[in-house]
Amino acid sequence: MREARFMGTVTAMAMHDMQNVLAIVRESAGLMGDLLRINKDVPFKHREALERAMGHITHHVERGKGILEAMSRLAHATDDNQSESTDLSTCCRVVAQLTERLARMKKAEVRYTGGAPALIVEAGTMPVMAAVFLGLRLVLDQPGADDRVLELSAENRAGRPVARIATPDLKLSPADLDGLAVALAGTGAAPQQAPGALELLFPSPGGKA
Amino acid sequence: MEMKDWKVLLVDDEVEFVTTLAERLELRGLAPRVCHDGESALKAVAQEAPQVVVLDVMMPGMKGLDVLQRIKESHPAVQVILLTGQGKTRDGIEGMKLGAFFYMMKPLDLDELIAKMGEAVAAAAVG
Repeated sequence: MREARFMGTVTAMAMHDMQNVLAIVRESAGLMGDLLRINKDVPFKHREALERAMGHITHHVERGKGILEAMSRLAHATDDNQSESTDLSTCCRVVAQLTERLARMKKAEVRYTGGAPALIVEAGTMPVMAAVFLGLRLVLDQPGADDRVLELSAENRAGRPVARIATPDLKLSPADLDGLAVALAGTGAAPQQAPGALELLFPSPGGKA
Repeated sequence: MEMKDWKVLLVDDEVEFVTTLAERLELRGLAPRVCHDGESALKAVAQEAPQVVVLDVMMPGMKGLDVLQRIKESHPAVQVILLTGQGKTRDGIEGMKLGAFFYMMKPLDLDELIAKMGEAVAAAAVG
């Protein structure tokens, strides 16, 4: 736990610095854009290329913002982990953001498609995030068409929080599910196959386990 | 009140960030003052109270939330917009409890900041 908290604290501080880096890049690109707009009638050979480059900067600052937010939540998860309740929707959103690279390596895309508000799970933040990640990784490891989309959502099913990973034609073997159940030990999550989806059922506070 | 008449104080220890932000606001007709730490921000408020302070939460020396508290004690009508990091909503919520007008996350959306500053100026006029 001491090491986990150290890593969380140090990562959170580094994330803060990265936010400042992005903020400076964004404002500097914004200032260049302002100056181009003010001087729009002044002939300038490379105006179009410069505007395009600034568009890329703006787009990727937004992308970086999303990654940083997810990283920051992950870094603070070691603090939140002290709590016995966790918001499943937030965990799914964070894990979807942080698996962007893994999904791309598998020629797939993970899309967080939404979650019920304040979908509380009776488990620590780290185990819940780890469980969602393990489920996603299992689905990403299945054979599938290039550019397939995995839709990740958090649902309230009759009081039971459920993380759902859906992709067309997903069919997991019993061995896959058994292996995942072993990997999920201690996270509170129980896996089940649904048509075209892997579902992770989590315990609700004082409710179904 | 026109934008050019808004009295704005920007407080952030990231010099390149806050000076560039000030330049962009100047291009839109504002004349913001800039400070790089909490202590000089309090002096600037005491010298001439602004209507709005845009204040970074995490600065070396006096922390943003302490600066907020001191400003609200000495100049309750001054409205404070806090700048927090992504995923640091806890700081923002804590700041709102201490009397902040609003909190925003870095990197900023300038149009959104200007809109919030306008609302804050209106709130400062009411007191």
